[in-house]
Amino acid sequence: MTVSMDAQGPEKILPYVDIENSSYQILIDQENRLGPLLGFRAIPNGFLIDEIGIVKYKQLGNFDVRNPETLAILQQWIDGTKLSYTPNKPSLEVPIGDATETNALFVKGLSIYKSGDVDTAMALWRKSLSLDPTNYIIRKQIWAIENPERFYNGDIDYDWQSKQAT
Amino acid sequence: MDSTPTQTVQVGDKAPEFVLPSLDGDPVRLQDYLGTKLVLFIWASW
Repeated sequence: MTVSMDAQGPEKILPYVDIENSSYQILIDQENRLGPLLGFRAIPNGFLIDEIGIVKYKQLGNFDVRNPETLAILQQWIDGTKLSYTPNKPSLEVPIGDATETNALFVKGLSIYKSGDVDTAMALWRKSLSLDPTNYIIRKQIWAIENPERFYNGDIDYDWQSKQAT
Repeated sequence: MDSTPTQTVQVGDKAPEFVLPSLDGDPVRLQDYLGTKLVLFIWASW
């Protein structure tokens, strides 16, 4: 099951997925419901959930099938062997008590964005980000809308991202 | 023992319920996947 955090909607995901041949669910979380719920402020993340719904593994950041450590974890999961697990840095987690207002602003911004008023939406998103300045779900969404050429013209320009002021 | 409360799910906790739309707009619940081992991958186009 994959969940994309793209506030801009399904059109952004389509280039990266093969719906017809996909054996897994492709979901979209435009409102960032999962960030506060599962406790992440950036991507890519991986959660492994067993048959009775217990979270057996939670990795914030660097969960990527191009990454050998991720492949090793997935193999352990498939094989049913013990998962090698490193606890996540607390700074990557959603801080307790801080998420409600931050997310309310983000959701309001999304509603306004969908109505076509991008400027007001961006203002609300910036306000949301000011409450949680190192939230990279919100930050990258703002970047992607304001600088689409850095994200959607070929490879993502990570060099440009690292030069942006925090 | 760390007594700091956390709202967010940790290893060993039951995964919280959620409903999200698939690309064709149909709602999908995490609950629908009880009985299967799940890999939940969170990503974005950015």
